[in-house]
Amino acid sequence: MAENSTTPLLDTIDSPAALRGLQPDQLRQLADELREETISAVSVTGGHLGAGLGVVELTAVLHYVFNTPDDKLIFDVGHQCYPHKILTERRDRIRTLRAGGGLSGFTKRAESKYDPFGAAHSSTSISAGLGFDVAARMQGQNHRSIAVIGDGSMSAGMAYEAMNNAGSMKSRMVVILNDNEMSIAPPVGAMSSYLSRLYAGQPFQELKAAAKGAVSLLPPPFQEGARRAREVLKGMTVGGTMFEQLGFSYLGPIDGHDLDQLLPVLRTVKERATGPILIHVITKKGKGYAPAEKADDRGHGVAKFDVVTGKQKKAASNAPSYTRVFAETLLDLAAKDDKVVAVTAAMPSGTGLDLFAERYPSRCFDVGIAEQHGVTFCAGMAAGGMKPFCAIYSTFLQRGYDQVVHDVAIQRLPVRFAIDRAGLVGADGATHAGAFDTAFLANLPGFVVMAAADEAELARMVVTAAEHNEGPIAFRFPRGEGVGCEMPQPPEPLEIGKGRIVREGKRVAILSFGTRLSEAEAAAEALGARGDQPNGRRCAVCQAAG
Amino acid sequence: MILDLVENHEALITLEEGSVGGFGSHVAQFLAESGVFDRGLKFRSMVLPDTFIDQASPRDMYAAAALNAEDIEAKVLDVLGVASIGAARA
Repeated sequence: MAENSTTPLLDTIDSPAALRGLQPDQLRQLADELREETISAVSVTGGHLGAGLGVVELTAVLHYVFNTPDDKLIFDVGHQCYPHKILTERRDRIRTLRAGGGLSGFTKRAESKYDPFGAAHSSTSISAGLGFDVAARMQGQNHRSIAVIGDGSMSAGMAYEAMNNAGSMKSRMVVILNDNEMSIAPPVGAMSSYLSRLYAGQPFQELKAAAKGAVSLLPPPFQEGARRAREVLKGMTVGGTMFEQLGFSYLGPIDGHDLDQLLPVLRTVKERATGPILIHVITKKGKGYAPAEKADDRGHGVAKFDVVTGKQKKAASNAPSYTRVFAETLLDLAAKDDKVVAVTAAMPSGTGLDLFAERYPSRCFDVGIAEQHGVTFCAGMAAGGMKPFCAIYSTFLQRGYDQVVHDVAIQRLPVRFAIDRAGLVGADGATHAGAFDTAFLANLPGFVVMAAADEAELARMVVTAAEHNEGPIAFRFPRGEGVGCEMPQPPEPLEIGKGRIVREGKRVAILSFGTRLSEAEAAAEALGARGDQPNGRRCAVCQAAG
Repeated sequence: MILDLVENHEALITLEEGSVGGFGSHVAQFLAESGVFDRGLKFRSMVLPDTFIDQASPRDMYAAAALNAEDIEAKVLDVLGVASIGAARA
């Protein structure tokens, strides 16, 4: 323990078992120190901040009440897991988050027994939790499964598939709906004292009814294009009817930062719940760190920052990002052709379509975390005569693959796929790698697949795609900045099926597809510099016609 | 164009930021069906390896995948049967 440590209580917690040794009234201090340590760690590593801050109390209480790792605590997406990692024997490595050789920025089975299921993509936690629940019961074990899923993740169909299945099975799993879209919580005093009294031995149904009473204190739902699913969801959770129709008992909403509500509720659920239960918890993303709370994205993803001021350290950029080049080229096209529309699956800033939405709000569609729907929605628009650009990261396009095959390719519909984050992506690791899109698209009959070698080529590919009405077409580009080449004004379309010779050589031809070209050029340079080597090199860039 | 390249070079190396089954595999299929391998073309396909690569900087990850410039250089020398620059010069 360091002298003058600012986290003296946290310093004594080297595992969840140690946490469970604390008195309940120590949890407030523990949570505050855990929050402080999370902020400190992320200031050094960069990464996801707001989400973790929103679940500090929830994470502490879950490990306190449940017997982890035997009880399975599954975080949906996993980006909110930094406080969880600090509590589960990884505090000493928490400043290696997302770095080479360090902790993953998401939950990972290979890393810790306290991460029963890896994540990074959304909406998988309830399905996995149900799997654990069934496995435990079949082996005569009494372990519980707890899935913590955010309201954003609830826009994906998979979450409902899982709830529908769990509800019909009378599983004992616990789903915690971590809802951070609402900014108000029921008044602490009345709820907490009521719940404490209820925990002391009242029937479970009364607890549920009391929690429902808080419903009237929630603010009216707000209207925003991309958040319609959540709005509908909230309208329903207020009465709880949809979840109950799916077979879940509904409990909530409760204040996820108030230990006096979390603790009695979760203890009661653990002791008394006999079927699947959904606990609706209201939290605030970025809670407890003012710069995050005030930010538009509530500190979702941050670079390294100064803890005192919150100012992020952003590296200077030398060339425009591929994302930006795509977005700006698309905007130019949209200005000339009102059939151009764009779709994103809950990633407007990541895809650059926030620019598009600003200029053409009625032509830009954020479908939420719903890639399957997004792809078929584009297919429908294409069949209806529009020119849809479906902007989904390589790794997330995996979520809508049958729709690509069955709805787009078989019917040969001219959907344009703008595939960002192609190739290896860095700190997000294997779960976000764009490794497979060429393989799973190029083998589809009639599908044109392109890969930009640099940002100039990307601009030309966007134009090529806009003009291609014969069938589906995709262009892939990596995360990060371009090479700094001159941009064609205006960008001309490319001829499909043709390549370009970049450098003449003799014995060896290097045929490059995409942005490895600059590495191939460097290799050719090095080989050429070796004087008497007889080998030559010819690099070409080729778009393969599927 | 690919057949032209093959006509005029003794070796062809494809290169992409993707797994097996993508660009290189399609080129190989095309060349195989064209009978090019029957006539002795040396062919290599540089792709992401058969592992899930853990997080690091993109450059380091591509080093783990052996797809950086030095790896391409080594592949060229290998396919031409040149063990090392030093050996060739000696």
